[in-house]
Amino acid sequence: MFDLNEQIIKWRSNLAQSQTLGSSDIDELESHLREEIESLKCLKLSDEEAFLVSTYRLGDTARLSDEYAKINRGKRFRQNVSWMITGILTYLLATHFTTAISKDCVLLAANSGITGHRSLGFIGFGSQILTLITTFFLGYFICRLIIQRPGFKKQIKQLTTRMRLLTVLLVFLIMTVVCRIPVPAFRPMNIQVNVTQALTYTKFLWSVLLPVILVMVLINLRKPNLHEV
Amino acid sequence: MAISKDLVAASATPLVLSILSKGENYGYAIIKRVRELSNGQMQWTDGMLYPVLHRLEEQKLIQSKWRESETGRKRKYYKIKKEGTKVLKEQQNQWKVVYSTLRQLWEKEPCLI
Repeated sequence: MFDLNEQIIKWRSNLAQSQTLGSSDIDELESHLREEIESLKCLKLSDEEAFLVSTYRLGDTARLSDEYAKINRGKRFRQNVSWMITGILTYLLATHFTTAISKDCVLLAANSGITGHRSLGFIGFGSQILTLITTFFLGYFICRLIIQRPGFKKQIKQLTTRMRLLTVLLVFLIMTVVCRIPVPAFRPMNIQVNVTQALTYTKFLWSVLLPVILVMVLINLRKPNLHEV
Repeated sequence: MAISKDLVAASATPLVLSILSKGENYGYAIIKRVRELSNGQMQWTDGMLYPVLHRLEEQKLIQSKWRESETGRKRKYYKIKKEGTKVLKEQQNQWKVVYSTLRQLWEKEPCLI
């Protein structure tokens, strides 16, 4: 049995894969498609026939995405750049935040009697990775809660790219300052030698392992190629 | 007789602006109107109209708004702006020059003797 709505959803997702069409562009094309289908059905065409004829008249996915690419080029470029900047800031922020926490953990361990610089180093690195994972998942769930709040998407759409970037920058600055606030118990001015060594280990492991993890994530997140209906 | 692609592309802007100068409208109706007026001889691939509309909107010649129609369907309506009316006037003058030049060439040349 031919399910018109299902076919339209498939057609939409195919257009979305081209990445040059925004969701509002696709909404507009869908509205057109449905109108055409209805007028064809008045001519006694079946659902399937009407769908096929109207998608043909609308033009194939590859050509549509080419045409939209021409007008959306500037927009896409700005979008990509703002994603890149957000990514770099997030990376720096994650480094600042987790480094501060792992430093606290190392000092806490040193104060409670662990002296070997190797074991302190592992504690530092372990706590850094754990902090990263915890904040990642916590951040993910909090963001999901915020996004699912009704009316949020509308508010976001009203923001310009500049406003979005400014918000990210503001969050970044506040968090960086918070990470650097000296807490007398955890962040003393004079640090013991073995703690300094441990922190160097941690820094080394962090700067080597994190890029490797990120590249692996990128490889797995690659978009599938566009295919024709 | 189908009109060539280049000619269709060149006339897209004045066509859209002219139709919108008669009142706000949405994509599907604009295409239908062009088809009617040209007796089906000007055929757009339907999807190609929308990039044209978006380009005009980016140039601030027209503006758009999502609205629900009487039938409850959501449609994006386009409306011409002041700047658009100005550009339409210019384009009208340009097309008139092209048309009158061609017409003079195609009409029988007057006898020289």
